[in-house]
Amino acid sequence: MKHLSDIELLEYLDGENSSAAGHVDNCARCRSSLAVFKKLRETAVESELERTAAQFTSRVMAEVLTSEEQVVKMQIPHYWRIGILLAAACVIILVVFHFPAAAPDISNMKLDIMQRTLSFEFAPSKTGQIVQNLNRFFKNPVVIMFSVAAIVMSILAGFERVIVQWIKRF
Amino acid sequence: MSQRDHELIEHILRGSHSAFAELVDAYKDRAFTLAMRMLKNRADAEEALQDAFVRVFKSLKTFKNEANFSTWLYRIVYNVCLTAIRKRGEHLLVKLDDEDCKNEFSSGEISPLEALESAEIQQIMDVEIKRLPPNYGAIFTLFYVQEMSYDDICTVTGMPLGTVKTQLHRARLLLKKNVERHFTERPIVPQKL
Repeated sequence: MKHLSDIELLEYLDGENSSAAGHVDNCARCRSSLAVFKKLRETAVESELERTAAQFTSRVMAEVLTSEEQVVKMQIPHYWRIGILLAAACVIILVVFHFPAAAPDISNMKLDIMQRTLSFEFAPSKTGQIVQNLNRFFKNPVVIMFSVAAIVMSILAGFERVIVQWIKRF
Repeated sequence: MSQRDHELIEHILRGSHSAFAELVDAYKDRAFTLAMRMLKNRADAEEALQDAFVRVFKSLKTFKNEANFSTWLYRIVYNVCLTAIRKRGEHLLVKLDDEDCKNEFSSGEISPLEALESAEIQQIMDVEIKRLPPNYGAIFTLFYVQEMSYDDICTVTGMPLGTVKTQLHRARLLLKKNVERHFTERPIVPQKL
């Protein structure tokens, strides 16, 4: 009689080789081998689990918190840079396109026919023009609102995670 | 996936750290057993498992709820351990030929079953399971300790079904041989009642 191989017995034990059932019923040697594998399986199932150190969960949680803080630290400058760059770009665009450079001021031009003189005020110097433009620019209510909104948005974006965590805590 | 796991994951995604701590507590010993079977060293296994749990926390958003959480977790643990083994420059696969798995009881005085009934068998088995090569140890643990199906083991290890079956068979044969060796090298002392 040809006996079942160990592999065939293991397959039978795993319920994958049902054709071996007939042979096992009639063969004492294969039954004995099967009993050995069954016993090994029972003992393997009952084998003890390895236990982690007592502080393992605390260590994992500390690591998780550290990794979260690192993410926040990495994200704040990133958002800040984007927010500030956007705000700066908007300011430059408005200064360049919305307010043209100061031209010679002809509103105060005076023509005196009797004296045969024509008098007018010269436009301010380059630096003066910029100061004048900035002065006008920052007094514009639309610009003030826009700038405030841009700054608030960049702050909120920068501290998004911090704010979310703070809200979650409460 | 168990209802409790599902609830815990929902809480974690809403920002609960205590829910994650509960999830770690629920799985740490089983996952640690897998890491120990692969790395054979307590410090390395704890470090790998810690790394695996941090990865789980970071990528939990990508976990699909229809999948089994434990299978997903063990896959991460398995891959972290695999990377650690490769970093050490060790080999995961240990080739065994038929001679390695040959029955040791052929010339013994006691029957295999008799030996397995001895009081110290559990202790011997624990020792021998720990001594299995990493690849066999991992598959053996997933099958018997985590009670996973062949399909789930394939998902965890990324191995084809045929390879998983072959490795599990070889692991059991090797374990049987190594256990038997304990009884062939010295006689069994009968237990006093």
